[in-house]
Amino acid sequence: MEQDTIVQNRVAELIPSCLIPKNIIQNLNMIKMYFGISGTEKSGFWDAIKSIQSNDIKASFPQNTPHIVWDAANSEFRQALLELAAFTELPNDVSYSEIEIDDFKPKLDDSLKLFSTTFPELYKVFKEICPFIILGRFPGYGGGTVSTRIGMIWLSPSIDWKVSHWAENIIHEFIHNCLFLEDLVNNIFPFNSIEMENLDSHAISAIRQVKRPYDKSYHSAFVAYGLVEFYLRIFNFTKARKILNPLFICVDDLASNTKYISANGVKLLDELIEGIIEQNNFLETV
Amino acid sequence: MGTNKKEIDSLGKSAIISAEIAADSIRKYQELHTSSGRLNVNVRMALADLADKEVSNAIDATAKAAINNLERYLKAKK
Repeated sequence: MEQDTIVQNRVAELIPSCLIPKNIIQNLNMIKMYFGISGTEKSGFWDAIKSIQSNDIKASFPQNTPHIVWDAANSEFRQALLELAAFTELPNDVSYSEIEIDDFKPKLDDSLKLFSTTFPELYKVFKEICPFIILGRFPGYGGGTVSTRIGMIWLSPSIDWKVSHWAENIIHEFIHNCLFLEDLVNNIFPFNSIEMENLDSHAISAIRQVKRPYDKSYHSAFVAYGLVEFYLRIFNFTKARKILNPLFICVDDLASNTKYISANGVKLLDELIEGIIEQNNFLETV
Repeated sequence: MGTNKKEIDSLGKSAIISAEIAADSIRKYQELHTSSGRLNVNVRMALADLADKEVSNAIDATAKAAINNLERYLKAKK
């Protein structure tokens, strides 16, 4: 009971401003404004982002979001799927069988409920930013996002994914989308690909725990922070600790070399540091 | 009344500035993120638990030092 109270008290707010719902909405509104889209329709952001990044997709903003594209390979999302997975050809068995889909559906539904329970306000924003979850099997991969396909999340699930695993993957990809948005509106990474591939810019990634280009490791740090928060909120403290320790190493590396990010990028990183220190302090009390 | 007008003007000006900064940022992002440019592709491997016990112990030890560094970093900034 004591523990319940502590957890309830700590869920007040995420610290990095790029993950705070009202700031994300402000980013959405800026994009709508830039593209001359007025009004408060939830479809406005998708219409705007589609016009610059996903002209090949005709689908309008779905009535119920996220809309699940179960067979992306045989739909207008085929090209997007290839880009999200960073492949030039689709694997032969990219489409899931009906038996697999029947297994996935209830778990996916439950995972969305879990997301909405653990992060109620953020979930509302998720429904607006990520109207499409597209599925396609790429053996060995779990899913992904790409900076030129904001609004879409690719998942490559397997039968052994539990509800929390589905939720973790969706939250993971959603955080990438929040960072793309922040970078789009408020600039985080001002340099081009050649500069970012420079070895000096590499930093230890929080998820893979290997040196990666700065922007990838930076993304991984915010994703890991979000996942720690998710596991804290579902009382899986062991899992939270397992993600948090490598995250400290990653963020220490990022903070020691901030010349590859903008002033806004440094501000967000400072907020993230505050956030993970708070998570660590909290974990020491449970 | 006059103060309100001033406040509204000032809010209006800062909104215009924010919109201009955002417009610059959006243009820059579009220039950088093209199929031949700097894509941020985040493809995730299926394996979730990468670390074995030995690696995990090493990470925990390094993390302690990292926490101290970051606490110092924040203090210095403040």
